[in-house]
Amino acid sequence: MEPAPATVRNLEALEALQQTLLKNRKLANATIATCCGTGCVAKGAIDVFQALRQEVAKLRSAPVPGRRDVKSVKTLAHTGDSQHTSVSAAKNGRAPVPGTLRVVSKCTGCHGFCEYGPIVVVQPHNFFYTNVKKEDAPEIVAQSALEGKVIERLLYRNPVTRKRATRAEDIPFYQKQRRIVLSHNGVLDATDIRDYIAAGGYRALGKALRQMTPEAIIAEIENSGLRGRGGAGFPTGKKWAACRQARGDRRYVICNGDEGDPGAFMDRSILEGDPHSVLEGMIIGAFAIGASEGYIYVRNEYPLAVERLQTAIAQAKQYGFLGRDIFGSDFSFSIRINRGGGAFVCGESTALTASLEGRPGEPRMKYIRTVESGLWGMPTTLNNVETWANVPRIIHQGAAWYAAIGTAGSKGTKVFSLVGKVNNTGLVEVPMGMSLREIIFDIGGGVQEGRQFKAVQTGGPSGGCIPAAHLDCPVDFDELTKLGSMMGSGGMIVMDEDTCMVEVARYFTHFLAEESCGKCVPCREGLSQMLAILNRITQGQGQPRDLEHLEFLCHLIQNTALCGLGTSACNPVLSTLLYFRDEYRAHVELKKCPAGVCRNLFRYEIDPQRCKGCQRCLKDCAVGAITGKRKMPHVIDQQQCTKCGACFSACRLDAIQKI
Amino acid sequence: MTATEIQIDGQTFPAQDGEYVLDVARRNGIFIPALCAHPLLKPYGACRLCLVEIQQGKRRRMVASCAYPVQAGLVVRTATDKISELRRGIVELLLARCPDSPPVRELARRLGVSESRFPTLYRAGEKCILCGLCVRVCHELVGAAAISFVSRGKERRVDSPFALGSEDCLGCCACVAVCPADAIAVRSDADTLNLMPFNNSVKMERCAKCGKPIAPLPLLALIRSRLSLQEPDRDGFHSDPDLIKEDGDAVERVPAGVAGAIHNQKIAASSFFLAKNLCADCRLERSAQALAAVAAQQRRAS
Amino acid sequence: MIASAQPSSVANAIQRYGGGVGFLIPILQDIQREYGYLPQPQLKELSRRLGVPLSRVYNVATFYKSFSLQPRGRHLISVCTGTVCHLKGAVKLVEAIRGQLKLPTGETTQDMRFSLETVNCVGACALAPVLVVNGTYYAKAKPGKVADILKAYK
Repeated sequence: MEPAPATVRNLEALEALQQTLLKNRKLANATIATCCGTGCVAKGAIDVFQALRQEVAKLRSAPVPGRRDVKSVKTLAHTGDSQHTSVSAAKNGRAPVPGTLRVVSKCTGCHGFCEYGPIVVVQPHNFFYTNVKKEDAPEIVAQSALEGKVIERLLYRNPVTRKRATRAEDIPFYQKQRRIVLSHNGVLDATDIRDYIAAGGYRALGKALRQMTPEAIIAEIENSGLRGRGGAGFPTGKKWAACRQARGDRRYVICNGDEGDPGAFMDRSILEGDPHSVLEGMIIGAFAIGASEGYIYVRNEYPLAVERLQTAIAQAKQYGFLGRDIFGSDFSFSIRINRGGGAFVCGESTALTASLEGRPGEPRMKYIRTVESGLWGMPTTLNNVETWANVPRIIHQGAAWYAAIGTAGSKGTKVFSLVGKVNNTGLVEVPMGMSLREIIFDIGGGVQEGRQFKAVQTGGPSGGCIPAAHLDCPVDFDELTKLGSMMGSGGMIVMDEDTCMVEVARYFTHFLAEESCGKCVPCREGLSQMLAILNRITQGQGQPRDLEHLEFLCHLIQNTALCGLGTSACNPVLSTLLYFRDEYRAHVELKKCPAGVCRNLFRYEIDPQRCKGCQRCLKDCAVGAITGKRKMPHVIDQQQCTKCGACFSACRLDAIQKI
Repeated sequence: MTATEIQIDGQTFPAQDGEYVLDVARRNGIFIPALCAHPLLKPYGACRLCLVEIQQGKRRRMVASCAYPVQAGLVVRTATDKISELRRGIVELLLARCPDSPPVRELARRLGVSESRFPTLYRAGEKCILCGLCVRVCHELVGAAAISFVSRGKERRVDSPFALGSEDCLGCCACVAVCPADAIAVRSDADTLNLMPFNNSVKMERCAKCGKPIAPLPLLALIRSRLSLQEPDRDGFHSDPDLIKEDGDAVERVPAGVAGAIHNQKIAASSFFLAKNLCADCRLERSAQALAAVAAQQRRAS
Repeated sequence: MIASAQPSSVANAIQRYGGGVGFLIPILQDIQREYGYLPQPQLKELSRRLGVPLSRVYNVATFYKSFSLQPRGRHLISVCTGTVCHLKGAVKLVEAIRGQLKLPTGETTQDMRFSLETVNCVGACALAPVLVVNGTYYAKAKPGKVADILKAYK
């Protein structure tokens, strides 16, 4: 039986608790872990989990197929989303623990390999099943969990070598990763604090509170070289030290979970898959700077993260990790969750604090810094989710361990969401300093459908587009900035030859103009003017001086905007102007879109030599713009064509061309 | 407050802790354009015209002078080529927004810009430059909070809740007075005062004698409540003249001699000028009558 | 739509968060969840009960993208227009939905069956382009699938 929740007063009690929990976990003959991250859930993971759960539950009521040695079944524990079932087996059974067969079905956080979800991992054999359907559940339980047999068809197959991979470690996607922040994702049940404690959770907190002074904690974080993972890359220890020294009646710590960058879901996965790491980091940080209240600001679009956090906070209170006199010390701390209202600008620290005070997310000037005057005018330390999640690891393993990972200026690992036109879409965690090429081609498996790589956009909407020539650039805070992009919070969007870089710049400018709070003149008016120019260019109405005007506006906004949203808003336009100027010129001067994206600047035509008159395109055309008799070359009526591209994707003979 | 010194454009000026760079520059006659700064309001930093270059040690950067606190040894440059270029750029953007606004045109002219290279993206006749002075005056100073910013980005505007006119508007017109762009219009008729474009509509107190509108009712009510005054009686007199005696100046500007006379109880305040709801003409008439009465009283006494 | 306002719902929402103005945004989220949008009387009641000027409540309600001051349809269609979805055809998807619902402009159908919104990113980039109807995700949603997906929502 699992021990009932009780306040943990010292490190010895935590140690004893961990040992008990570990022992219980080792009793499990099989653990079936279903990824319940957003990507897998959207692909039906909840159905899979429930089917697996039913199958495990059935073990109680019916004889296990093929296991005559199993006599009866009893439920071990039932916590949150997970279900533990133990089956009493005959003494001569093949179960490693004679007499009982325990099968645990649990739901875990994101494995990061979203392209192949839903993902189910069966322990102890570590079978890594991809694209699992609910119909697979009986077989997984009967074959893999009870018999330890692998189900070949559910294994990942390497698209190049055609070989199947039994375990995660055999998959190239995972081979080059170094998972520190994501180490619990896909392994622990995010709704069960006991899983976290069994894995060594809250040991760092105990060490910090009982064996370290606040100054020593701050020194440890400073020595680790940890820099903020939210975008700016400010040294975390330095921030804490300044906040500790600032004058104020109260102090706050805030976790920024307003992950606004489109194409980024690192923080969401951490909050959903490993909420206790974030809580533990915040509690340590609060102790170090002397805060008694903390807030986690979560995007409203992340309901599951809010739910998981609520559960985690409630459980942490039960064990005395939150509340009064934590770990038997005289330190008290509480955490509340606050949901955002949908505004990208709230990723900016002063806008976020405004939002936490119930005001519109309008940034103010930071001549007086947040660490001195933040929430309610009090000293405030604000770090993002991934930064907080790094903290317990650093305290537990030491600054030297952490500082040994990464590059001279950027320590540790970074989680990226590798998305776009890349084969292995998902979350990857790599040591700082790995090259873009390794991340995109070795881990990401290269560009989809064998197309040509064109650019990778890093740093979210305020980042820049990096062309193939710089693929060998090591990824860290400083190197990306040198290329006119930035680390941002870790979005990495791969673009192929079919991507129009002018249109991409237009897309980001549109995004930022819509998300601009509108307070300062250059950002509000300047971005609107830039958008108007880019709209014109992509519609084929570019004027000779447009590029010059764009450059002037970029210069103006960069130098004069009030907050970071504004000063970085021009990176997409500047970086594409720098690396893909020819594409702009083709749009403006030749009125052509080389990538065939901007509708007014290209047309589809059918090559009569190649067209065999199969009528496939004709049937797919929604507006009836294609005519032609069967087995005769077809023709597109350019007047009627809406350039939707349906014919282009329908044609199997490459007879339709973008001109 | 501690005194310190800062350097602006090569000259050294005394400054107080807690002041901002713009305050010191303005006091010493150094021109820095600024549309959203006001000495009575907290720094805001939205127009970005007041950008200056500061130097601390070797580090140089651009800051908004309206919000940058003075520090000992601060070196400020207000008119480098780069600053002038950026200010012209900002004013071009404002000019594109409000091409027909005389105050914006005048500022542009002063900064050396006659036309904007950018087209207007707003409805014709846009006057508001979104400096926020009206909103901040209403929230920070008046305390009515009748108007606010609405929406964001390019859609941002100043309006009353639901654009239906605010029930919290006092009709004080501080917003009109503080607007640097002449973007707020006051219209009044016999009974109401209207502030446009907010649709705020406020009832007017009318002269008890001749019926002419005098002042916005909610504003009078607020003054009375702040001074703990009762509503005036039917004749327009307050029932408690003692309160006025204490703080006569707060109700309205009273000539020193008259205030003294009231204080020495030579004349009854109630009969003299406490009739709150009289228009200027009727008040003049009543005061003349009161003075004549006092004079007659004194004649009789002597 | 709930026509008659239940006066307690605003008070309940305030109480849920301990009454502080710092929780104005989550309180508004809860009111919106209950009514489908933010009705005027509820905002006025909220302003009164929290002691926050109505102008500020209105400012917040119009600043954040997730709030609607107009009644919305029974089913909410959210099209993800994050970068990856954009690159993989979210624009065409929106056009297809607008065509299907006969919604050239505006966001709610006449019969109040559907409201259409675009959202920045739902963080499910592996499934791009993503369409979310009442919280259910539809992966790799191509324009051709729209009619089939929407059929299920009456």
